[in-house]
Amino acid sequence: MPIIIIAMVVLIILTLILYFKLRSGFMKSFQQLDKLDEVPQRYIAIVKCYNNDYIVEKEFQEGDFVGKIVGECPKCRNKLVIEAIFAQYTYRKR
Amino acid sequence: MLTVFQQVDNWNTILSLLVWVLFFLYFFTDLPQKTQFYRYERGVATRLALIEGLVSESVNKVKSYLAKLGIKNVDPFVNTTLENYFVIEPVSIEPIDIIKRLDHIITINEQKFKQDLERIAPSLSVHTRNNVAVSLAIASALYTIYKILRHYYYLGKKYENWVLLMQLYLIMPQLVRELMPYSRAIDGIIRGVPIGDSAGPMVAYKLMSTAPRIDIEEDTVYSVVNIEHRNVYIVKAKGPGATVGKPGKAVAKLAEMLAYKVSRIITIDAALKLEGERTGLVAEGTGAAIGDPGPEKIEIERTAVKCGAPLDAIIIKMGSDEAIKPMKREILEGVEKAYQIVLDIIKNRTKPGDNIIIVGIGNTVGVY
Ligand SMILES: [Zn+2]
Repeated sequence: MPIIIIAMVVLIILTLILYFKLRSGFMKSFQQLDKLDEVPQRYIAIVKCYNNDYIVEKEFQEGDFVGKIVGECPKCRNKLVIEAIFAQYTYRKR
Repeated sequence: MLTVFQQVDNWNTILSLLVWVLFFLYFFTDLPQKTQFYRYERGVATRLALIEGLVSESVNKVKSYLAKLGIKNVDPFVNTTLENYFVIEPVSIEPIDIIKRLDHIITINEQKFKQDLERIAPSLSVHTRNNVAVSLAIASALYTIYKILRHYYYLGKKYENWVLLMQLYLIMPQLVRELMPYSRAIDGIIRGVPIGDSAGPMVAYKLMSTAPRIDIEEDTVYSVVNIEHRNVYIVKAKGPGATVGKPGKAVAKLAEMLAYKVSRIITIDAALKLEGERTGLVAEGTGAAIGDPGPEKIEIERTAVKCGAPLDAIIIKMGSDEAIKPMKREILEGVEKAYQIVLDIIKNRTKPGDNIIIVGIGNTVGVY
């Protein structure tokens, strides 16, 4: 008879484990999806000279846009223009 | 304790009785469905609360941005905007001039919205106002989705329709996942950072670079550039505010200006990638690459037919979330590739002296 009792205890433990593990069924992977959030970490502007002899990356500032003239080229005194703006992403938990 | 275990006979009776009760409950009552119903209902309710949070988050973002710009009476304006400005589709069983009617309705709705915005914020520049308009449109889209989901949730609860709730329960996590970027996108658009959808205008910008922008349609400009002795007319929305302009009508006008002597029309647009495809993948095909309800696309197609010009489509692939989030580096690489393809088409498929129209389709936020 102790075998039956042991078997029952094992079954109950197994049921409990399964219950806590699969309580939310396929929701588990979804919950993980919910938590991982892709957020922009920094915005970077690529600044280029009209003569194509100077290129530098700088931090995006409020009011910047692609095509904005932001200064003079240190090499040839021509205009510097923002060639592209992009965001660097990082994963964060919600 | 030992005495209890020794009364095994009694235990067996109790256990078998329990099994019988469970068996009966499981097979001859609705109990399993009821418990499932309860779980589905709870699951949907939590996720609905999450979406509600997203809605209020994005609405608050727009409100605080407007307040920062020094606009008063923000609350009633934003709240009415969320509910209003729906569009009723024109009658489609009578297809004559349906495009004209649809275009008329869309244009009027846009104008109405712009006029209302102008009335409460007359001091803002056109570009800032466009950014506000697009942010509001995003918040309003989120709110509409939330309303519809809530509708089905209440409906399912009201009639204890567990099939309806189960469907909601299954689709909800995916929806939450897809809606989250919308709330994020507002940050980017308010700050004027190019988004994934700006890929088309970015290619146009690369072709135009410093050439003067000439107004041709509402919120739409074109530039003339000489590339390899071809006259290249490049059309894009007027930046750097967030707007998509009216590229179709601009193309039609431009072709008319050129007396329909156009030898090629090239459209560049961001397109939805399939799951598993790489972001920033560039593909080339035929047709008008533009995702509007119809009026703009048909103008491009009609112009191409009228001119007898081949219609090239270049698409830069991205996910639906990436299209509204600030531009990723992969998409920027795709822009460079698309630019090279355009130059290739100009060199190899047109002759010197030809007129070519190139259209950069998409939202031009952050791109001049
Ligand atoms: Zn230089």
